Amino acid sequence: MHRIQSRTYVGQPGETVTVSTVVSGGGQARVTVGGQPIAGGQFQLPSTAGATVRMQVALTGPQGASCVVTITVVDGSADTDFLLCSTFNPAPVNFYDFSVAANAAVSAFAAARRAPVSPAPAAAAPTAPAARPRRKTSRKRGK
Amino acid sequence: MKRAGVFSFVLLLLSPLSTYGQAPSPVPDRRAAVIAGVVNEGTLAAKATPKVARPFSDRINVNARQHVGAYLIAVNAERSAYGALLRALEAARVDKQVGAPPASSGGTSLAMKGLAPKIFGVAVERGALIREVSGTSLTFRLNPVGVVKALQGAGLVELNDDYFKSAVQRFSARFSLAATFDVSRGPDAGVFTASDQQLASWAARYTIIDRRDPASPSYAAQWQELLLDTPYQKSVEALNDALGRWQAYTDWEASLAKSVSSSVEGPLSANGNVEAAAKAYSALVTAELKKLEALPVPDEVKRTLDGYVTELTRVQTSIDKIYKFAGKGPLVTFDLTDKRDVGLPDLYTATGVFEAGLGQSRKTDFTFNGSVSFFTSKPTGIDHSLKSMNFTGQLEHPLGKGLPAPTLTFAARYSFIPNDTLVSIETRPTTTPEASAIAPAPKGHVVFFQGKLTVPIKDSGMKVPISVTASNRSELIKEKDVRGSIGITLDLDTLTSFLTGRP
Repeated sequence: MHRIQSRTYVGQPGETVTVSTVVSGGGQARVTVGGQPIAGGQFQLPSTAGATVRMQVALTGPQGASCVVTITVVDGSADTDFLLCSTFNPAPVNFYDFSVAANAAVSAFAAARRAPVSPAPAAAAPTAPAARPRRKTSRKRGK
Repeated sequence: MKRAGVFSFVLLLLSPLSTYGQAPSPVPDRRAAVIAGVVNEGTLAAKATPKVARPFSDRINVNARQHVGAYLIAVNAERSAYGALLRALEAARVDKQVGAPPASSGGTSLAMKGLAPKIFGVAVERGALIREVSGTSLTFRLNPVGVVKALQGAGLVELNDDYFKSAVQRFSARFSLAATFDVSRGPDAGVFTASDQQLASWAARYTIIDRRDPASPSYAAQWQELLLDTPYQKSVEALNDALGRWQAYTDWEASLAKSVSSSVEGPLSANGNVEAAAKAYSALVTAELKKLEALPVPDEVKRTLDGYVTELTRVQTSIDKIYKFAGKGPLVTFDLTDKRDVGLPDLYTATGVFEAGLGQSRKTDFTFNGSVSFFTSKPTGIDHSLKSMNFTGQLEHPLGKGLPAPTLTFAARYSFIPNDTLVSIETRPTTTPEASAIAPAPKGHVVFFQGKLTVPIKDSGMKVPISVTASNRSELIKEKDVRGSIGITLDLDTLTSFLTGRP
């Protein structure tokens, strides 16, 4: 997956997105995709090139509560964001748009950006189990 | 305070009636405050763990446009709903500020003499002490947060270590000290000398249990419930997307992000100086938001901003309710007070206080305290130093759902005086040189009951308390007493707000 601009990414069909939140100051965060909370901090991009999906991170809590959002794997590492409950923004909600492009297009984009290319997710293959790309992704993160 | 209240009541009666019909005054310009909030968020993002990739340029950027919404609300604060929201948001900030000193009680004509008062004065100016004046009494409250800040301001301490910071904060939140000086005492009566003679009392308080912090895990469920507020989140998304479809805005946003990246985050990644980055960001974002103001806002953005204001106002009300609920959580404190009378040995009183809101909605306030008082030595002519033990319970419940609601209060106090003892009693106006008189208090049991109905008068700052009290005897006289009373109390802050039309 690659970052196009702030909170906007492009990934391969079926690619797994891992999201984690670190909340402090008594806040509570909720990560949803299509209005549904994501399970296990992961979700998969649609399997069709051209599709889009929006993720939403909402934070509530007393003033000063904060949340660091980490999204992996973006350009071979992680992208991070920050939310804060403050006077004029007491309940922040940030959005993250993910577009799906064909494997070749994503590879070309990465080459143009000179960013590391993620291996093509096996989930794109019709017979592949859904868990396989997650294992690949986590091995890569562990290196 | 009572005299001031009566004086204000007379003023209220003499005020022209036209004052009552005044519309609220315009909301002060809040654009700078909104920008300060954005800069603060960037500063915190730059210091956050895990490390945040673009701490400043992502504050106002694609898919995070609530700060721009807040700025546009401030720009259009003359609109009643927008102004009301800004007032509500700011009121929330003032109410929730930890360790905020009370509003200044105004000047005092008390003269000061000597080095100690100067030190007290400097401490007050630096925020290390809070001063309150009542009659000839001058009370200083030690605010540990203020002390630490004052020491930091003076360059005496650097709080860089997180463990030390949190330890100081934990201690500060639970401990406080106060000292009261009676300036009518001593050879320089009427002049504050901070001498031993003028020290009338001191008190120390430690909070043993405090479940009133809204950041406590006890209130996680309430905050989580707020996360399920779909209409609010939809309104944020609608505003975000409407701004995203406004070409002039997206051009402005992209230009801002580029400038912040090159002139704020570039130097920040090179030198790591967060404060310098914040300063540069503040200047840049202030100038750029001025440019945004000049752009004609499309109708779609105006409509979605209206929707956002409606939803945020509702969410802020829910947030206020969570704070109110948390504010009635269980609280257990221990107080030790030393009262220093001219004609008696020092009188120590140790008091344990339990306060909590009862019921699922915590509407009923319950307070219980138990105390024991003893002299540091036996008073002349008395065989024991133990003075009395006291237990007090109080229940206060709002009647009805109206705001402000009348409240019904029941209170009972039991005192046990194990031996004949002495008490000091106020017998004179506070300006006379004699501080107090001593009177005998016979041993025995003192029981006191009170029922009180307090009826607030809407938007006036006035309350009418109607009470009935009964006791088997007083501390001094063994004689039953039943009395009823009716009165008027005035909240001067509310009254001032009412007269000026300012919140």
